[in-house]
Parts: sequence; C-alpha cells; structure tokens
Amino acid sequence: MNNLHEKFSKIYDKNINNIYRFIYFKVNSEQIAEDLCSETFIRAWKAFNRDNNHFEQEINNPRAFLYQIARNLVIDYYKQKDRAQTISLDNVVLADQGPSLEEKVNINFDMNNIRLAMQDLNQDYQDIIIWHYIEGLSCREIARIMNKSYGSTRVTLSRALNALREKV
Amino acid sequence: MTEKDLINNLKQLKKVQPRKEWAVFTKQEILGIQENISVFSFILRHKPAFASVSLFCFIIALTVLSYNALPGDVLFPIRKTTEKIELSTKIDQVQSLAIAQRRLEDLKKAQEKAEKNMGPAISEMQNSMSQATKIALKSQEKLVVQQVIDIDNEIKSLGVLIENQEIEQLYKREVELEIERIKQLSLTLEQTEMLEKAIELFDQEQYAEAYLMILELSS
Repeated sequence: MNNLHEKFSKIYDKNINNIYRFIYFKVNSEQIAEDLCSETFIRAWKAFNRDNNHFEQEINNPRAFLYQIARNLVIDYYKQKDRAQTISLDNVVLADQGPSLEEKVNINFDMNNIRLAMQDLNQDYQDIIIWHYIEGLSCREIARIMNKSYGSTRVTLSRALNALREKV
Repeated sequence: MTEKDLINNLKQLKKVQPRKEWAVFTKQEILGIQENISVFSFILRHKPAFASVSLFCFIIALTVLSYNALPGDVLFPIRKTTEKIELSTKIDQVQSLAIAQRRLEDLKKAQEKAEKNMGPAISEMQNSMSQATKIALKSQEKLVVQQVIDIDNEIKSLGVLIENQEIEQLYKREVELEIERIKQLSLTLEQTEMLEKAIELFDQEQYAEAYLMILELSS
C-alpha cells in the first residue's frame, strides 16, 4: 500500500462509522445510507488523490470535510425524493426489508422513538443533535462544519434539543 | 422524558454501526486492487491467519456474486459501489449515461421476472435518469442529449412512468433550437404544416410530442 493509500485508509477507518451513522439517522434506510456513505468516501478519495497537499493543508479536518460531503449528498437525496413523491408508483417498496434496527442493535423503545422523532426536525436541528449528542463533537467543531459562529451554533443546539423534547 | 434522559438515550444511539463486511468491501473497492494485492502478499509472507484469507476471499466472492444483482437485491448496493468506482475516472457525461443505461437494463430484467418487486428498479431508474438529464441540460453535445432522449423513449416503451422534471426542460430546449434552425430552411408545404403543428404542440407545453414532430419533419 503506498503512502497515499495508507493515509486515506486511516481516514476511512477512523470515520466510516460516524459518517454512516450520520447518514443513516437522516435517511432511515440501511441501503440508502450505504449508498450515500460509499459515495461520500469516493468523492473524498477523488479530492484526496487530486491534490494531497491541498487536502492536508486546507482540509486539515478530514472528518469535517466528510461530514460536509455527506450533508450535501443527503440534501440532494431529499430533493430527488421530493420530486419522486409527486407521482404514485405501483408496488413501490423502498424501505429496508431486513431485520429492524431494534433487532440488529440492542436499542430500547425510548431510543427508537427518539430516532424516529428526529426525522421530523429540520435538517439543521437533526445535524446538530447527531453531531453533538451522538458523535460527541464540540460546538466549535460543529460551528466550523456548519459555517456558523460559535454563539449561533450554541443557540441552534439548544433550540434543536427543545424541539426534539417536544416531539418525543 | 427529562432532558437528562433524552441526552442519555441519544448517546446510546452511537451503537448503530454499518455492516462490517460492507465497510471492509467499500474500503477495498475505493482504494483499489493494489491494497488487495499487498494484503495478499503480506498474508503469504507472514504465515496467514485463516481469518484474513477468508476475508479476502469473501470480498472477492461478494464482488463476483453482486454482478447480476438487481435493485432491491441484498447485493445490489455492492454492485452499485463497484460501478461507481469503475466509472469514477470517466467524465460526468459518460458516467451518468452509462449508469442510466445499466439501470434501464435492470428495469427490463426486473420486468421479465414476474415475481420481482418493480419499485426499487423504478426508483433507481428515476434517480439515474434525473442525474443524466441534468448533465445533458448543462451539455450542448447533441450525442449526449440524443442518448438521454433515447433512454427516455425506451422507458416509456416499457410502459413505465417515471417522474423527471428535467426531461421536459431538455425537450423544450431542443425543440426551441430545432424550430429556430428549421425556420431558416426552405420547406415543402407538408413540412411547413408539420412545423406549424410542432409549434402548436410547443405552445401547449407538449414538448416530447413536439420533439417527435420535429424528428418526423427532419427525417
């Protein structure tokens, strides 16, 4: 494995679970999450290959860079989905057919309710809750990813948590 | 539920993780065959652990088995990832057209299998066509536009309805260009009537029909 492969391999190993989870909570489908997650890493790998120096200097936080790609892909996915919902298709089954998340992972009733309630929040609220409470990112890191000020991020976080409490 | 309980439950959601075999497979595919080869030679050099060899074989087998997977099949995401990587070096136009063409083939195969749920195949077709049409709209290349329109016609001929707002814009643009071009030509009486009919259809926003009329006129 050459140096470039080795570096990216480490980035992949370190971030695959976080990026997958971030997407999964937003699209609520294992298959779509896998699809968008692989696309995220393919795009990052292309950027990494294109200009490794730039990647290291400018994108000094690969995790933030990956989240930004994933976030844009999820937005594009919902734009396409909204258009698709304007017509009815016979026998369309898009939800996962396998065992449910509760069966695969030991999560309780409350946790599953929270997961489903998150789907009703706007995209910014979902993102900030996943990043801060599930992934443990600091408000400063989140502010950088969202391109917002620290203060505004804190306010959004507080509002997002209140909105989620109202839903569950 | 108190705020503390809510936060505790949120933290527990970190248990959700991707399938291990999928994560390993995707990494191998993205980083390319070099890693497989180097992993393999490392294994040979260091008296292999059985688990590593099994994993390597498993990934290869998974790739091969996924070749014929159709949308909705368990192995289809693996096939999609392989395709994306295979086409990642191509320019966007080639990439999007190739994917739309493959989804069309999948759609045909799914239709042939009576017991097959058509939903995932239609959904995949819709997404790939939407992407291909967007790229065709940006492009001025006739060949790209023509191929997208050909795929659209094939989908219609299968009796499948997909939502694609961009295709209407593509037809509209092409008809507008063609009408302006044809207006400069000297036409027979019959061709003039067809052009007038095409303009009428265009005004009624029936762009695909207007496009067909233009094709007929030009043939």
